[in-house]
Amino acid sequence: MNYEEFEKSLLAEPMSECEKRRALADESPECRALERKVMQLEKRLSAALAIPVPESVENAPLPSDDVGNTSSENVVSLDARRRSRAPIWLAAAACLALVSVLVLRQPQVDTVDYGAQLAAEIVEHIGPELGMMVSATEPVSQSKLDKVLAAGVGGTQLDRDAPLVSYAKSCVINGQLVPHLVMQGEDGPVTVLLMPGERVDGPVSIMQDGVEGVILPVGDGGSIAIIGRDAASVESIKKAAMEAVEFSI
Amino acid sequence: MTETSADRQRQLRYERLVGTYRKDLYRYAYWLNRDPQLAEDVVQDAMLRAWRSLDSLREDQAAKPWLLTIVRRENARFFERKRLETVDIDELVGAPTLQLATEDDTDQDDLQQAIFALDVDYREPLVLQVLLGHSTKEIAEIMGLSNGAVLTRLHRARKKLIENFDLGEE
Repeated sequence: MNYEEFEKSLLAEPMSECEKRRALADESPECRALERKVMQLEKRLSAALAIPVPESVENAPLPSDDVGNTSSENVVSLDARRRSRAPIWLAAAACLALVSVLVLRQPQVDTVDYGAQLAAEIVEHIGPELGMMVSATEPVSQSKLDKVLAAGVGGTQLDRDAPLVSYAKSCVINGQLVPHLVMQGEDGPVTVLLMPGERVDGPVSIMQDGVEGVILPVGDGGSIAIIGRDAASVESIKKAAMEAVEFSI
Repeated sequence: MTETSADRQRQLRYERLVGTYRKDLYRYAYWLNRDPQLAEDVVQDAMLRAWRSLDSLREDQAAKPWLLTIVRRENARFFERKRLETVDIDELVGAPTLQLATEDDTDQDDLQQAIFALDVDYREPLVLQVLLGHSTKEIAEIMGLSNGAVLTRLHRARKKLIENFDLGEE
């Protein structure tokens, strides 16, 4: 082993035991000096790389699965989806037909039914993952919360006096990107969906498969859904959550 | 086993595996993308993905490289999106220093800047080796490289650091 090989081996794996390297370091002052230098670097390197971890990461609650359990086998690559896409004219025709049907049916739309459909979609969205909600004392970072609120359709503001938000993520409800939050209430955590574009005429109860909650109208054309493990957890946070949310569309 | 009991078991397994490596995942993501907020997002998405595909992890001993690979892929996805938004990723350099060293620890700050300045091809194996304690073989598997390529990158990474960072006289 010569100096060049010594250097290559030392700089690649300084902590590994290598007899040839050891022998050369014993013989050569130049190699010993390099070894000292590299060991000094290693010591500092470990400290420099161990950056502080934000509490929001350390104490992050379990993730809330936004689209249900998806095994990797079920994931279709974008390329594959592109390949399987129907011709554009067919999609355009289907859209036109759908719009026509919706326009023709408009006067018959029952708002109660719409609320029930929205509730069903919400249950489908969060129901299976509701058991994963955990109590937490650390809020999600303000920048993360701002980002999620800003990502949604229209404008959504959350008052600073809002209950503690421990989790924030964008999710899709009825084709719209909406903030999906976990708020910590007096009687446990609840999931709160802020939906500035989903109008309901009055409170719509959600009670299905162990899920309890309510969709409440907020502002002129929006609503929020509050879902918890039981009625008490929802009730204890309902008023504060309603007062904290403001939609600007 | 009832469904609820199975769900609970799955949840406990997830908490045990992911909880153990949470800090490592964040630090790895951070040194990959050099942005604390982005690192947080990457880890959050990686944890969600890990939860969804937990059943595909057969052996708990393989959890760490499995999770690191997920973080690596999530990070690549974020950067792909950033590239599409035509954001110059080099603009990210410098901003995170606020979170790193204290004012009286300028040596450490300088070293962190020197690490930041390394190309990610050199920075990543260094983080995997020094911070996360992986062997050359494990790094090669995570990064999809040969052992020789990993050794070369590690050698070059340290050489650049020694050149660019004054270790001072002993």
